[in-house]
Amino acid sequence: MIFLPKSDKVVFYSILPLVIGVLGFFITVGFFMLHQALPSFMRFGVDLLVSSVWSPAEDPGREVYGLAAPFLGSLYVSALATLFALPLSVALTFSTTEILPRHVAGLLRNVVEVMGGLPTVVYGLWGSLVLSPYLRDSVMKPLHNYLGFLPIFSCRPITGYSVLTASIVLATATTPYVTALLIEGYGMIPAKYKEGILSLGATRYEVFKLLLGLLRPYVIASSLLGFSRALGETTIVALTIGNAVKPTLCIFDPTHTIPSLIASQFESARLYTYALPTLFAGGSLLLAVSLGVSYVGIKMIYTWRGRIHV
Amino acid sequence: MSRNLLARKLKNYLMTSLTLLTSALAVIPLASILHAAIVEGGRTLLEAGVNFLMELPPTPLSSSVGGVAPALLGSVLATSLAIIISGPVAFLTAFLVTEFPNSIFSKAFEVVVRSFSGIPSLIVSMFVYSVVVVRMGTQSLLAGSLSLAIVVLPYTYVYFTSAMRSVPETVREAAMSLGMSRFQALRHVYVGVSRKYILTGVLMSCVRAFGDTAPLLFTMGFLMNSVFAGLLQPSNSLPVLIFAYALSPYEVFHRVAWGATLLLIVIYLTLFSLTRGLLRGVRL
Repeated sequence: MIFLPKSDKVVFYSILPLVIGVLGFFITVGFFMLHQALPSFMRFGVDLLVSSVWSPAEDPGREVYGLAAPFLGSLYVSALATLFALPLSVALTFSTTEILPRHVAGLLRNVVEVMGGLPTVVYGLWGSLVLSPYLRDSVMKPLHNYLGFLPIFSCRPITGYSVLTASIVLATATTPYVTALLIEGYGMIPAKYKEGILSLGATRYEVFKLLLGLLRPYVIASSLLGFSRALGETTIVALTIGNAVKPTLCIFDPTHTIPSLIASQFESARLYTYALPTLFAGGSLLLAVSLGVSYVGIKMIYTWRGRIHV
Repeated sequence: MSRNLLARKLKNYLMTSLTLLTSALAVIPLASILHAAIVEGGRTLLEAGVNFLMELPPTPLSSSVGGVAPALLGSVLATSLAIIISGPVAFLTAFLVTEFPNSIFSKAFEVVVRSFSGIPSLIVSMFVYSVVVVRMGTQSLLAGSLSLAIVVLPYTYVYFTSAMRSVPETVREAAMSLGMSRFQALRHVYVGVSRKYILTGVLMSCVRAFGDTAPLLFTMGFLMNSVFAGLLQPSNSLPVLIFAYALSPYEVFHRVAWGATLLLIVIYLTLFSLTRGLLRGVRL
């Protein structure tokens, strides 16, 4: 900064307060969440993460809350969604980079991009009014009838709003994001590797398979980023998960995720002493996990990028 | 040897077909969404006609679908306000960070803002609720716009930094060699060279702000009995309207939700293809 001409210094120091202000603001938001959550942490302690009840009461002494069910629900639904989205994204990457002719691939990429930007509430409405009745009748009921002895299929599908529905819709909405990451990563692999493999007479599938092996840390990182994004998704999940506060392993049961709990309880929570702080505690938890997971993902991508370009 | 080759070719064929099928599976939902929106939403729009854009929403038991005027106007106003608030901030900060990348503030800003773009937007809604809505005593168009502006800021910032970086090094050096200060270079050279990128960034931020539900959930309010109540009064928005009506048990609300969805999709696709058209022209 010392060697800059005076006019540049003026520019720098006149915009600097704005930069510091925005920086401070974003950090404040994080601490504000924790601050609002404090009463709940103090009152319920570890029970907040272990028990799963939601019983508001007029008398603050009788209020009891636990976030175990929505927290596990969030992890469960997002993990399933990532699991569904990954093969789809890998397939889309293979199709657009190696298989399809150039203009068809370009068209497909545009379609995927349109899907990526589509407002999530559109996915939510579709999931709740179109997909969930269909899934209940032609996927959940047969699975329950024939494979009901497995714990994940053991409960009776009733409304169609369930863990499965939420994770499928969530997967649909996450796929474009993960695909975009994968295509970007695939493009970063230096041409020499592909040329080398091709010169040995490899088929397209073999080329992709070998390059995908090279891409593995990047694929894991993209999945983490997709997971983190799914974790915070509110609209889709609130419309398709069925909103029930109980922990479940069965994918046909309704449950809650932290965002869907916040979305459905926030309006009424301000009437009670500890309900709002508990929702803020959920929000802080969500913020911490999603920041942590994205940090690991981004770190992995940087490491991989440094290693591949030697 | 040749049998081996045959086996490999067969495997290649099988795997590519499987991949293409899986890819098709990934885009089927879009087809299904468009189909449902056009059929169901089209029915609503045909029934309501142009009045869908100008009338108030129906009551649960009314027979006609009414319209979504408060939500449409609220969405347009909140999106514009959000861009007006976040645009200049994003532009100036992006300029500082790309021009002085070695400053410690630039590095910190880069890290914090980029990680902020990944956090759940519901959190911003909770924040604005506690800081603005509680103090003002009511949900309002202003609170909703602020919430949207905060959510959109990191995106706009990322688009603007890439716009600044799109200025070729030769152009940058030419500006400097004429003895321009950074600010003069920004005003007379960079903005002109990267104007299409900047416009694309603004449009993409609009796309994002127009369709986002979570930031408006606790901040914007749900105005139904008039089209517009004022900047400091509750308003409505298309995404939140669709969200609330999808959760409601009433048939007529579902019909309105489908109509609003078709409207939202049409607006989204228009903005999206506009940005595409712009980007196609960018070749330096």
